[in-house]
Amino acid sequence: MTNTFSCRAKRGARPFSFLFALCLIALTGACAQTQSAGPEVSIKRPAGKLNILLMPADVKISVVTTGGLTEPNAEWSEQGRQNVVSALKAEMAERNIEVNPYADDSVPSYQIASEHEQLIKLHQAVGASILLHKYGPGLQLPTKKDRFDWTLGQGVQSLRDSRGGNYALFVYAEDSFSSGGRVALQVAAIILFGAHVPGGRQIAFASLVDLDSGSVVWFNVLTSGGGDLREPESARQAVDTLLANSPL
Amino acid sequence: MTRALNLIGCFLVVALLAGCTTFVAVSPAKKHEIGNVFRVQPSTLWSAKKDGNVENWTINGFDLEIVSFITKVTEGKAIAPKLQGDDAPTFQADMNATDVVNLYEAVLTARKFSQVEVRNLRPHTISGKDGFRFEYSGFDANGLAKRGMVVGLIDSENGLNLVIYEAAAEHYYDASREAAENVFDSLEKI
Amino acid sequence: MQPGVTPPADSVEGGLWMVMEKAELRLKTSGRVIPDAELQAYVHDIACRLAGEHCANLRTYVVRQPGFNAAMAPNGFMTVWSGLILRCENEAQLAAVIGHEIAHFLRRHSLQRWETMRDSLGAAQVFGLVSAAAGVPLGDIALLGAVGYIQAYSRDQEREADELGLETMTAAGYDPQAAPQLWRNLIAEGEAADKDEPNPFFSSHPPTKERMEMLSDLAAAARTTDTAKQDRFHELVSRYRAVWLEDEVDVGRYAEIQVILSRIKEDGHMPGVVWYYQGEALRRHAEVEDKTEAIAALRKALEFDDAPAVTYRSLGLLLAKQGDAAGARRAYQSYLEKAADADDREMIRYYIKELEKRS
Repeated sequence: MTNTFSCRAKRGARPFSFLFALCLIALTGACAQTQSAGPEVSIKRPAGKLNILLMPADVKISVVTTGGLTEPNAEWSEQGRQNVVSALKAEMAERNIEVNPYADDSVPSYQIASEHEQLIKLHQAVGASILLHKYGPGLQLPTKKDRFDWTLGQGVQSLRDSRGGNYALFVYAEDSFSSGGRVALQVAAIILFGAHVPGGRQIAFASLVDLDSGSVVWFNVLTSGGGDLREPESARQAVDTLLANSPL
Repeated sequence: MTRALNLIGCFLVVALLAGCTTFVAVSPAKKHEIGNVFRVQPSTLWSAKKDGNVENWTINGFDLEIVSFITKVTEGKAIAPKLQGDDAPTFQADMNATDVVNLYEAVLTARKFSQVEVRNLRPHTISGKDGFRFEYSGFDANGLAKRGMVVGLIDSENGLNLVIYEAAAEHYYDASREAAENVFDSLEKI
Repeated sequence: MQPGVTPPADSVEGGLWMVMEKAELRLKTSGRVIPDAELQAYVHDIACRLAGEHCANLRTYVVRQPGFNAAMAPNGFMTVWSGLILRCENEAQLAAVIGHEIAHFLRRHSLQRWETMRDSLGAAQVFGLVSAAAGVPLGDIALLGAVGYIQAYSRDQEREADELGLETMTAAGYDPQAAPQLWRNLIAEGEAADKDEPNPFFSSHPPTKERMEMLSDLAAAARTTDTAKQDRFHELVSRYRAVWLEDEVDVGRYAEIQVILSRIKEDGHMPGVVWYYQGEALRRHAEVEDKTEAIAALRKALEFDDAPAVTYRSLGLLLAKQGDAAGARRAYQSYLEKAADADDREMIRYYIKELEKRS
């Protein structure tokens, strides 16, 4: 009920707990590292090709100014989005999986149909919960000990019925790059505070949702100090790493 | 620099939190005392976190479903003072259930809820004592639809005491409802 | 930079555009946009007529939010708070505000303001401010005071917007005197209000004496027209007046609401509802210890046919606290009679039983 965390993360389009969870992970994440949640997951494969509903990829690439402000860069974000979408499609093609985009992904401004809005918002809340309680140190829920059974509920069937797909794949990625002056500040911060001030910080997560039951069958978080989603090859690498231990 | 300080602040919070596990298990096998006001026996396992006079339980995460016990809101105190700030409406000893509904709506507004509707305010008994109960709905700060039910008890010693079940309208309210109802049904006054 | 033309993605404006688009999307899915197609179309239509050829770039949203504010982002999305429409006495006053905001948009004042802001605010803060101005609060309540910052214009820009606003208003057939009149009403309300709480609209449009005089002069010099039909305004607003008044009480705007209610009473609308809210605001205001006036207002409301059933409930609550058990019981009984399907009737029946026990 009450806001129990005193950490004032920067606010944006995400729920507050989401950002807080991200900041925890950004700190605890070291180099290219993934932590997947969900045990050895196997998914139901239909007789024909597996069909994955590709939800609009949410990619935000920002520039960190000398003053420490984060500014989203529209061109970079769009480049990143296109690269991530291409990478996802390439990954699916390699695995002989049929890709079924939710919306026309040649354009950045996606339109979620109003009947799906609550599902998308619920997914954000579920994702935040998973990040917080599976990846947040000291925040594990006893009710989730040795289990991973988050779900969106059967309401997902309205997604399945209107768009098709056996599973829905959600990908979120955030990246930021320092402008020239930042590097000097980074070095100073490391010396003075012993803390790493990320000058180029990447975080991505993916979730796979069963479109019959609503279960989040697989979830993975990628934190990395390198890689550049604006570069197609680098984005491909990041997506490849992100999906490496997926059941797809 | 603000960004660095924010992250350092996060780091400290993390360090503090990592030292102890924040959530404890509430097992269905026994009765639990809450705030020295209520005794309750859940029918299933919950995860609990205490914060002053508030104890919050969840199964899947607070934003998905929560059972909140707020005890000993005495005369002159607001229900959620940290959230509501200095100008918050406060509980007065001569308040009744209808007044408490207004107080609770103010908490929802402070939590940036919109389209709040309160329904079915009615008497409810706890350990033979006269309390009240109501349901509500609204959209939270992120536009996620939420539903809730509240049980309240006012007494001269403890002031206002509330037990709240709130969950995402999509799936969670119904899915966790039975577990929450069992908590409510088991409520006793110490 | 033409209004309505999307800036190149790699520009500063491009980044801000993205923030505004996200804010607009967030608003659309927030649950705050009033789901009344007629009301939305009505306001959009006014904005369209005032914007002329730029109508195609506009998107308007009437949001459920108490308080007086309207805001327009440089990418063409405008929000009008329900509290603003509540405070307008007629369509001309509504058109005055909308026209003023559109004028800022047409003259690119907002964009100039954005560029200045960019040096001191991060994108997340900008997003927060845009959201708050749109009526979808994100951060602290204190942020609302900063909302004025986003809309704050220079004196020259205000004069330009006032001039252009009046021009477009008059061209559309509205009485230009509505503009200074609206401002006088707002100032009166501001004077009654708690000075600690910042009024977002006032922080961005300071109602200085100088501006008021200028506005009156401009209005007097303009052609006097009053040809625009205004029945739609009253028809639509009467649907919502009670609900929007309730919203103001719910957020504790007890002093301001009395000013608004006096005006509605003077204009002759909904006397029973108006007296009820006058009483109810006094009842809910904890700082008003003497509830005599509240009781009197509620009793006065009952003299009118349109007094809502909850008037009896509020009266009962007050009389019970005063120790008038018999009076309270009578009031509660009347409530139960008038609102047979009230969803809190069991609770009221309980109150009656408790009062019977006492006596």
